[in-house]
Amino acid sequence: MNLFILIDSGLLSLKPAQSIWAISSGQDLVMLILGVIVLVGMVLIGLVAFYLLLILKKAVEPEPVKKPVDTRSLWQRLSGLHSLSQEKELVMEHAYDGIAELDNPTPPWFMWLFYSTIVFSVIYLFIFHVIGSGDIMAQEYTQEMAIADQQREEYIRKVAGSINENTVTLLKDAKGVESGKVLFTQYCVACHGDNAEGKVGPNLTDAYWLHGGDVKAVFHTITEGVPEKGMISWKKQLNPLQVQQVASYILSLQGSNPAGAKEPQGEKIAGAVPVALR
Amino acid sequence: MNVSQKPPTIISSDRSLLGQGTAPAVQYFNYDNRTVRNFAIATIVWGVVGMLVGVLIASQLFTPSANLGNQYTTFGRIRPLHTNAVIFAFVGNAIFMGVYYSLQRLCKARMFSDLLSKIHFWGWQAIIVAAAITLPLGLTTSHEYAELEWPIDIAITLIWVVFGINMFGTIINRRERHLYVAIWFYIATFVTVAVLHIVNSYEMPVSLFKSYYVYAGVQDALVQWWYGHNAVAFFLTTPFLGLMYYFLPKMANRPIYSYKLSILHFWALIFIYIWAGPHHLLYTSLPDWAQSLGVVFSIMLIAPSWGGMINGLLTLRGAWDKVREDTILKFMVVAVTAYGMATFEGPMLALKNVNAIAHFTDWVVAHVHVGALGWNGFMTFAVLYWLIPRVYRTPLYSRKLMGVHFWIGTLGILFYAVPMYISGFTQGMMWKEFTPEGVLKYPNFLETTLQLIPMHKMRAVGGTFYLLGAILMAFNLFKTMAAGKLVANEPAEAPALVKAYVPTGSDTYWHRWFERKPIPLLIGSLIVILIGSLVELVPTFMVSSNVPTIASVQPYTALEVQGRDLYIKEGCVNCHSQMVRPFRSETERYGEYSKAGEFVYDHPFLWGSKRIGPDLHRIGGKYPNSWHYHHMRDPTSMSPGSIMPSYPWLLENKLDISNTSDKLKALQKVGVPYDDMTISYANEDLRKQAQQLSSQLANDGINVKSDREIVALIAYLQRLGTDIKKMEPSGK
Repeated sequence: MNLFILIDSGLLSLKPAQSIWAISSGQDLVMLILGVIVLVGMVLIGLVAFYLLLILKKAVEPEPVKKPVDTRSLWQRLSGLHSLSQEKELVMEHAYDGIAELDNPTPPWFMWLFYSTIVFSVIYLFIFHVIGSGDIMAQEYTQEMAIADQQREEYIRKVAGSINENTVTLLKDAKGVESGKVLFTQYCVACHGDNAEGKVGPNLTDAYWLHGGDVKAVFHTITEGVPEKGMISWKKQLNPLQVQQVASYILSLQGSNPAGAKEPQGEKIAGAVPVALR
Repeated sequence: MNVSQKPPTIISSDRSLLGQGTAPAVQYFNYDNRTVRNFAIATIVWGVVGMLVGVLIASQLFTPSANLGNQYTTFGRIRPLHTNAVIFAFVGNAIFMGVYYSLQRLCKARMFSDLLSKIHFWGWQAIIVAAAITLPLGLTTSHEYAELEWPIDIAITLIWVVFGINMFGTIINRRERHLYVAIWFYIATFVTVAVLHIVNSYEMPVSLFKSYYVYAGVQDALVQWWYGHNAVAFFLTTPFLGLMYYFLPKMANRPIYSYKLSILHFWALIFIYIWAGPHHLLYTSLPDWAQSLGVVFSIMLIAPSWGGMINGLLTLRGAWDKVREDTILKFMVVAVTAYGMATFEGPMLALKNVNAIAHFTDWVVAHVHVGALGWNGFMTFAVLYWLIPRVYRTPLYSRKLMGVHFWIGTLGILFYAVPMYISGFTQGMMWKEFTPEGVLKYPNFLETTLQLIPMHKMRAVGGTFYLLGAILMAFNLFKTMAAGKLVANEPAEAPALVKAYVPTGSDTYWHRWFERKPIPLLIGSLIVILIGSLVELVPTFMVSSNVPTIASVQPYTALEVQGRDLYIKEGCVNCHSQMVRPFRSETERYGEYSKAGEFVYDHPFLWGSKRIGPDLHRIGGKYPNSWHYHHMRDPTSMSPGSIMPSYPWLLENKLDISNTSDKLKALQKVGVPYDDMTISYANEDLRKQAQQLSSQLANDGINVKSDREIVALIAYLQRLGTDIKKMEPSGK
């Protein structure tokens, strides 16, 4: 349970109906005015008492010894240093195994540093745990993911906006197919083998297909996956352009007859003729 | 030598009596230098050993075969040996050396009991030897810097109490009215280390050399890093500040710059330090409020820790001409500067956005080594060079050699730290880098590892330089010892302390009261460190909403428990974390981020603190069993270029199942809900699961008997992080 929220919402807030500012009758008004007068009176008495205390203290205490005039430069004051020649006056009257101590003040810049870190800490806790919900990590993560999704969408729209399941075409240029090969090596060989000969996943080099063998069907299979058979959906890791490249590379392997090819699965599809034969 | 021979101008242990009739009788006694010398030799020997092991494991990070091909010298097992040797053997003995030397002189009294001094010395060395034997054997509890098993933990407690009695006895017998600032630090060190060690060592024994931590998961992590962080604070920092307050003014023959500053930074330091532990657990499953406390208290720690550095450096004001000539002071200046550097970095690393990049990388390694090599190492060297000639009453064998040691050591630190900073930054950024397409630029963890190899090589060179320096010092000092003769009992004199005392002058200052009363000072320190500890630890234990439970998370099976213990034994946690942080880069790379409720049966937690290899929390089910088999047999067969050593003995060793039921019983006692049936049929279940796994492996063409260790380890790895997935179908 978040402690700060507890205090914030549970303990400090009053129910609106009980508010002293909800004045509904003349009696309420009188009570309020009386209250204010009492409060002002208390403050005044307090001030007077404090002033008397100061005077009394001055009267009772002996006259303080006048401090020697501080002749230090601004820099020395800021850094809290005395000149070395003044050191003799600062030596304290004790020593331990010959080690003496100086009665130097703590350097002012050091104290400022300390105070400012304390202020930082108070503000930090206030921002995240009093104003905020205190659920810092989860919020940060959700935000980071939202930004990433937005960026990905923009990017896809820019570079591959026109490519989708219906408009995808088979790439024949060497560069596109080569990019497809790189992606295939990185993501697909674990299941389909180094040469697409099939391992856990089916052989991709023969004419038999489980989910369709034209470029549109392959594009669909890669994008959406076949979760029930262990083929994951790649649309979060590969953009449509990349899927097009991989699909083109896979289809370029038709009839390549790699060593150790897995037995055919699915239906024979005539449309998936090897690129080389077209 | 840089110490004036003239007597100090102000000598009076009891000023109020000066000029008031007869002075108290002067007493004659001896300082015990033999124990100091013994601790000094132990410091030198263990220092060289610890650094040697350091160089060995550093080279294993680019040449895995440097593990010498056997299980006893493999990174996972000897990395704890290195840290323990350096922290508790090298630095520990250095602390005792410095304390035994300075305490006697600051109290004007011999150590309380020669017998206790002897027990303390030999007991501590025996503990170190026990550690050096058990850690390579894989007997470990896996808590970082507290890896030793429970019998050794008890021995540590006893010896620490011996040290405490000896120290307080000396303080009680003192002939000096007030306690000097160095002694405040010694007292705080004693009491805090005792608290830390006892709370962190709550274990349920299974056998003489196996135990499970009572705490689990998030709680265990919080306790461990409360301990780990404060081991740095109260074993590596406060005792050394005490040493600095004694030896620095002695060496420079200068007064301490500011008494007020020493009061302020002493109390602020011990109060604030104890809160800052959670900064080791930023972006983990630790509740946000605890992380925030870790952040803000780390930031507030800058000034108090710098207070020590400022007081040290300003003490040298007016003695810089000496620094130029005196190598011992040069060592001290580098030490104090390294302290300032490390204590600036610490708070910076506690800022969450810095931590997000630097944590789990070499940046942290660089940070701790600036502290260890610079602050602890160099100050230890300075004290040794200063003290050995004094207790042997002979000049140092070679000042030139000492100069060489200084420069080669400084160079070593630079060669170590700079590449590690670069390496940490590089790796942190590579993990987080995405391509414009929105996928990880380096999806394969190994790519980032290979990028760091040149930096790791340079680090090993730096470490070797540093080791070489230490060996030079050992030679120099042993030569010095051979030339002189130990003054085992150094004569001293001081007036006895008179009971009646009326403070006058500066002794009326409020803090002077504490300095006259060691026990209230002890209790005061204890209260100050307990506040932060209780605020952080108690709510995590008491409030269940801090660890939301997940219904589908179940206890490990018998085989998985055995596999987990193998994982602990081999020190896998030293290279692999089990904590997927809530970052896009991590959830893309590893899977769903880790939830607190997933660790409720993890005794101990295995989140890790450094990723040399990838995170393993979601490894379960990611690869087939055969992949793990081949990966343990020869990592490069599955991941070309991998720097993981191979673990052939896991394929051959027979799994020890004689204690399976005992293990489950012990886990039951610490709160894992095993029923009695499961416990009594533990080995039947284990065999069944092992048989199943072994036949699965056989399907993949791997013939391994079901009773081998590898089977248990694979079972554990395949279980990791999978429980949470079971609830997905019903969740949707």
